[in-house]
Amino acid sequence: MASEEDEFAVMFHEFYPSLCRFLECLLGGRGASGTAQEIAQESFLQLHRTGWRNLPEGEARFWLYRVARNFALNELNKRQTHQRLFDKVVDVFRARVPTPEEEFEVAEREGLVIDLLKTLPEQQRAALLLREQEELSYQEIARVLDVSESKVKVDVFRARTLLRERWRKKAERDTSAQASRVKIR
Amino acid sequence: MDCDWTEQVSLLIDGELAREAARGVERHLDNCAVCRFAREDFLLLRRQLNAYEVEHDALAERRALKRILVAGDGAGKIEQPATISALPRRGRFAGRFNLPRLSPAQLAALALLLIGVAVGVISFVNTRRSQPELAESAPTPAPPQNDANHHGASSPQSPPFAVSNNPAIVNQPRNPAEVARDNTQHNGERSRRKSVARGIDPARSSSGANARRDETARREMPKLPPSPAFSQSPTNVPVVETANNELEAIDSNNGSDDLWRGEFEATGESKTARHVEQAQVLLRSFRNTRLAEPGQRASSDIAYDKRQSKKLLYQNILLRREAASRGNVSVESLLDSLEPILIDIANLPDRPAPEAVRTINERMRRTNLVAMLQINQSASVARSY
Repeated sequence: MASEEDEFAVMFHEFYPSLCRFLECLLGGRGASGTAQEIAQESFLQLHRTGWRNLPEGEARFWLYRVARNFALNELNKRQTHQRLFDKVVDVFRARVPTPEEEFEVAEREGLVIDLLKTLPEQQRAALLLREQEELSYQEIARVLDVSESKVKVDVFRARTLLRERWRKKAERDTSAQASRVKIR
Repeated sequence: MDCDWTEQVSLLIDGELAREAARGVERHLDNCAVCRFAREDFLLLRRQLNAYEVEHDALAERRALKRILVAGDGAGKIEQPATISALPRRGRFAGRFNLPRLSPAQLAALALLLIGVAVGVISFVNTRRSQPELAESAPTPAPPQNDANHHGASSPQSPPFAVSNNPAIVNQPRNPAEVARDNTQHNGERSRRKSVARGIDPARSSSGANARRDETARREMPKLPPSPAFSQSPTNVPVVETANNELEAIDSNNGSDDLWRGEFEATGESKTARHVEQAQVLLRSFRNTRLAEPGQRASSDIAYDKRQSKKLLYQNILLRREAASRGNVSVESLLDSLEPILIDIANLPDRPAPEAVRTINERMRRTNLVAMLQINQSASVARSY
């Protein structure tokens, strides 16, 4: 019994940090670290209850990411609902709703790739994070996300292209801002 | 500034290309600056993403592990797979039925729309139902008082069989314009037939609903061509016109001292039952008499039938109107079917041609009139007990 707990503890310490990072990036960065940790712990609890020793060799990691992503999707949906309700209340007192371009500019000003990640669709974001951070192959990503391998290929490429465009746009904007500041001085 | 090979570059840096394909992309990269920039940007993004680190708290991590182990052991094995319970709550229903997610405002608008449609349908159905009631309650233009007399005087020799053999004409609803037009047309067969029809029409169509029921009942009756034997009887007494004149006289008395009025103030059902019984006896007698004694010898029996038929015709008209006013559709329909037969029998000549009698019998047989009368009589007897 003790050896089983030790094995689970080893697995926990091995995957927990990376799972927290994946979830934090998926949920929107530093502000979501608490939620990411809660979801990661809930995922490990589910794994423990389900009977992790019955899973095939090497499957526990994919199982964890799959369940954690589903929890994260729940959380994102909940947030979207809350955000929609909040926006409706705010709209009563606000003249107009900010356009997606304006929201993107807000994200750009924070200057982090993780903030730019928030502007991507969830499927593309999850695929890119699993590829770049967790270094999963397309086949493994397809298993985690429960999609086809060709879709993973397309999602990863589109995520990269979008991020690159927005990153370069931000860089150009920063350069022009610096030039204007130099002229003012 | 894009190149078609950019996706291949993405696959190349992920190690997802076969060896030959990877070599091809690398050769392309040597010649394509766009793809080289793309590869540099992709790798830069990778470094940025990998550089992201979460705050690591070893103590909190150990506490979390302890809680998981305790909670997992305490709860035991769960039966439901975690993946199912972890599915997005709102997405499960919408995803299964491929429905779009609706905001509360959209749901409220949809509910209002459905309520509006339901109210509209209900009001439409009510309107459709109330239209017949309005038609029934709408007053029919009253016929001129001297209409029947006028036509009777203008066409004393009009063939009375026209009433029964032209139901479409008989049941035309009256209106003042038509009456005025007909008053100017006293010549010709068509005008005479119409005038005879008018003679009985006021008694029949006391209201729009009555006219409609008359028309429905008539439509169900077989339409026979006029018999030559009937049309060759110019000396016939216009029984229908006489009956109509008497009925109008009854109406004009307003029930003051008239025998018919007093007689029909008794209970309507018993009167109707007695009338139906008498009519049934008459029809059976007429049918059997003709079969038993065909030819010339039947003239004496036919004379009795004619008298009886004339007598029953008055009762029939009044009872039918009474049934119509009470809303008793079945009795009204039955009496309406009986009426043309009584008229035809009453209008038979003293020495009728066998074809004429046979035609009437054939019509009685087709409409099952005797059986219908018997059924009505049996039902009346059953109700009385």
